[in-house]
Amino acid sequence: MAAGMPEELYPFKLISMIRKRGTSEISLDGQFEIGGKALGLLNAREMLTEINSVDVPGIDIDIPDMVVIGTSVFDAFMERNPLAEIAFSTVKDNRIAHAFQQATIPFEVLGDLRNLLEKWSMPLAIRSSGLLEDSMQQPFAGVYLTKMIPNNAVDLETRFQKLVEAIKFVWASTYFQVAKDYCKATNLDIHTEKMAVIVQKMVGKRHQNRYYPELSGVARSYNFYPVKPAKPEDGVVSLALGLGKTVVDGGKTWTYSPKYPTIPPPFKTIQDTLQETQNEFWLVNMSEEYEYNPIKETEYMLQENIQTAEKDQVLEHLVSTYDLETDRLSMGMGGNGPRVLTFAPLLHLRTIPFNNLVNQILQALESRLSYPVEIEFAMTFNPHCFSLLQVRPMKIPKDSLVISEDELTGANTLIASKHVLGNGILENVQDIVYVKPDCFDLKLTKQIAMELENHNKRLLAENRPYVLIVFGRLGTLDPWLGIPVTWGQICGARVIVEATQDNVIVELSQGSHYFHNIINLDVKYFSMPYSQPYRIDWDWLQRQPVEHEGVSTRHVNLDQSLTVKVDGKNGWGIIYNNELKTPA
Amino acid sequence: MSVIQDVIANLVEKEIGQPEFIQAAIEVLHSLEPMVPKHPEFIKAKIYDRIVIPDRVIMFRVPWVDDNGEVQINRGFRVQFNNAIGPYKGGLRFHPSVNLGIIKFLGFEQIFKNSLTTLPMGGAKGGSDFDPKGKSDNEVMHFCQSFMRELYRHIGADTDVPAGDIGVGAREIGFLYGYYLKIVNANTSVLTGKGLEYGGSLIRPEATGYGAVYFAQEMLATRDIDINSKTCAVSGSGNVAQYTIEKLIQLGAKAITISDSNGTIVDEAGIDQEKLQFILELKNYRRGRMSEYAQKYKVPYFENKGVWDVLREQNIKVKVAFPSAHENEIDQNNAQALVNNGCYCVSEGANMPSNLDAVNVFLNHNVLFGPGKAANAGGVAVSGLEMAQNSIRMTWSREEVDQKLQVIMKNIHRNALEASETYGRKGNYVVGANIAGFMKVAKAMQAYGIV
Repeated sequence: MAAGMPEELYPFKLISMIRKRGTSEISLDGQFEIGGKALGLLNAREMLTEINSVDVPGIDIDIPDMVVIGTSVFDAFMERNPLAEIAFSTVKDNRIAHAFQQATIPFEVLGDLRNLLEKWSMPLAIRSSGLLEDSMQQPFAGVYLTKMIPNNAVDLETRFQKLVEAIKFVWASTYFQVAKDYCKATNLDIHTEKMAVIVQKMVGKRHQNRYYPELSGVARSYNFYPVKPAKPEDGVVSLALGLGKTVVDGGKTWTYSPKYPTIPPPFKTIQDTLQETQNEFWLVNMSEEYEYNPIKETEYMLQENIQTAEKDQVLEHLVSTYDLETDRLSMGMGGNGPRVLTFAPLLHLRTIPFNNLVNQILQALESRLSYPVEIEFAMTFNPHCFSLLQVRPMKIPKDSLVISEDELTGANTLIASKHVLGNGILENVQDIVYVKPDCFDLKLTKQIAMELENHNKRLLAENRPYVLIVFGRLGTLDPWLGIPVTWGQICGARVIVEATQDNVIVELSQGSHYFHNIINLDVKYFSMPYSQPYRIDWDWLQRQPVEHEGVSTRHVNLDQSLTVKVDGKNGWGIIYNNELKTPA
Repeated sequence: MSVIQDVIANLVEKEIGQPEFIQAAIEVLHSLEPMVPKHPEFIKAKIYDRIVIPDRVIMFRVPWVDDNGEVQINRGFRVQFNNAIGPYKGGLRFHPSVNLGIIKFLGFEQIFKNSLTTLPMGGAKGGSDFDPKGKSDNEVMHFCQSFMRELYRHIGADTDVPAGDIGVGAREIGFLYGYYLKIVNANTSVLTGKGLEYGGSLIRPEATGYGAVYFAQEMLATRDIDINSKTCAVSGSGNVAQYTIEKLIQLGAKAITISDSNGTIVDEAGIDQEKLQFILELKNYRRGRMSEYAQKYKVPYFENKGVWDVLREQNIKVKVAFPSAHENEIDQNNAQALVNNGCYCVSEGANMPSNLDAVNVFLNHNVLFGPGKAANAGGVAVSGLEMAQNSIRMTWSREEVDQKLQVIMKNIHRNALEASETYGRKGNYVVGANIAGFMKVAKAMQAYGIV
């Protein structure tokens, strides 16, 4: 039998291939093989004791019970099954997943897993916890997969099978394409990755055949896409109804700064708010009807409309109500009408000191770990229970990303600005679509929108990311202020530059019209207000080879890639042209 | 040089830095060319010269304190353009783009829009460069109160009655009206777009859709055609489209299409009351996609295609079209396909859904074409009806408001048609609407002498 951790000595149980050698030694061994996420939660557990419950009355705070299957089990699994060849190959993810399903889990841990399921018959989350996540302080958010299982079959054998399938699925995800790409992009060697697995009691309540938490979310103590008046260090929180998949997958969420909880996301109109707020949520399907597919992440998950949640009576703290007659939102559920997930009772009416708690946790974790953090959490109400699910380090701007004043005005600079959203370096862009400065006229913005759509369609079809340079307020409703495009018409742009010139001196949108897409797709967004001294090097741009010429726009294809650098900490950014070497 | 050209040249010379206003004035003035020779009295009274200059422009500072205790300052505007036919009436826009040129442009257009409704409403517009987007409720309230602290002395039930516009919805109207009430202590109809509890009118969400159908009914009546049993196409699935379909069902017509940003459904059996209920539930409550309609009722669904593309590609015949989704949704090809497939009436529920080429196709093929400024005037009309109810201290039932809306749409149609006939473009509602709107104001101005 594999060594298990005595529960009273260690907050999480560990299932390991390493033989028991005494409690303290095992503790050290255990820490070594539990991976980044589990270690993060271990640190967080100690931190939670520092939270002052006086400031957050009425909320129980915990980390759901969990068992970690150590990396020694993963090592044994990989050694005893002929998986290495397919794992490191370039075959499709589903073939890797199938191969892992065919393989056998080390027999030494089977007893522990069965014992676990004898005690736990509630829905479980099977999560990854890779060693690289810890040692490299890389977030790996959304890179490895999580599987939720209902774990409610009548017989233990069925539940055991489902658990084993889920563990193998999470292990397989170590080698999926997105993980390989991520390692490549971050200079990590995927061969060194070892995957521990967290088996965690799922937070939520059962409503007939539906199991889900009322609230889930992600909070970050640093935000590269702050919306005024928030600053990057004020952080950001994204909230959703139901399972956190909505947030992690970049679905419709309510995003706000924990320093300014009553300031809503920058929606243009009430109708935008209705369109852009969450109306479907994820849950675990507790019925016996599901499509058997052990290599599908959502095998036991379903999406339901917010109306189902209203029937389940879980919206009390989460919604406002839209009044069709007066076109107005009222906080709470006092009136009849569509419910809108604004989380106003929590954030405006403070029915529960939720935002205080999030602030406290972020501050405590950041000061304990000495770097910005990202947490994932879930909540159930009545009684109110806040569960911390994950703690991850945040990728913060490194020293090399600090942009100096000299660089902004350097000779090899195509574009520079001190009003830039995003963070990091982008080096694979060779195409630029721009609005011609000499013939730009606000009278023509509707036609320009059509031209941009055509460029976007063509470049998307050819899978070519591009820099988009426009004048005025991009995405405005008012064609006299800028180009009235919808996100779909420019969605292939990886860098967007909103510029001004003598005949377009307007307040720029600074990304607010598409903030959700920009955040999710990590688009670098340059704003160049008329008042700042930096200008685009039009002379250089107009010398570049033209691939498509429109009436008011032009698409140029460069011989070499551009280098786009954004210092997210200061909000400064720079785009180097391809003729001069980028400074080290 | 014609008198119109003179006025335009003068405007370009004097109104420096207001390109939006100049553009709007040029468009309106050009559309009046057919009537100029018939009305030398307007030239004599310099009506064209006078109408492009506002009665007065009010500009003021709007200081307020944000949630961090910082003092913020915005610019406030109210351009009272013309009150020849009634109290100034026009929206307030809160948006960072707002400047004097934009407000003048909007106020100028409002004169003719209001006049066309046949209700006694002059033209005005106002607003501020304040951006409510991303502001807390408290900040919006503080701003609105500061805005009203100056505006209150310039408005009144018989003087100037602002309404909402971009950035000014029910929340802002509530804050503005609440503060007016506080400082003036008079519960009068000084704003429209109010909540039902404090003076708002019923039928506001329905007005534009119902109005577009009434306008189509009137156009068809000129050719002795009854809309009953006619196959109709409706685009969009917002308020306008939903209530267009509701009214079509009530009148016995058959709407066969509806769309959202993801695609279009074609239900050749017609959307009946039960199906419409499903749509209302789907779009307003579930906020789901039209593909769910296709699944439920087993009808074709065309993903990522608009109604007019689908009708063209599938050669589907409709008699009446109600473009109710967005600007420029019908281009020349789609317009030609509609004509080829037997469409003889188009009533625009949205603002400028047919582009210029499409409009020309309709006019050249003798299609009854109701331009948005006339066909979708139902919304403005209900603002007028809100003022009327407030003035007589009465609240009309849904049926009463709907009945009055129908009368207004009939009047708009009659005036536009008569104007088109008088000036030699019979049945051209584009020309007719522009001239009808202008004529009423011009005649009133002339009656007042030189003031």
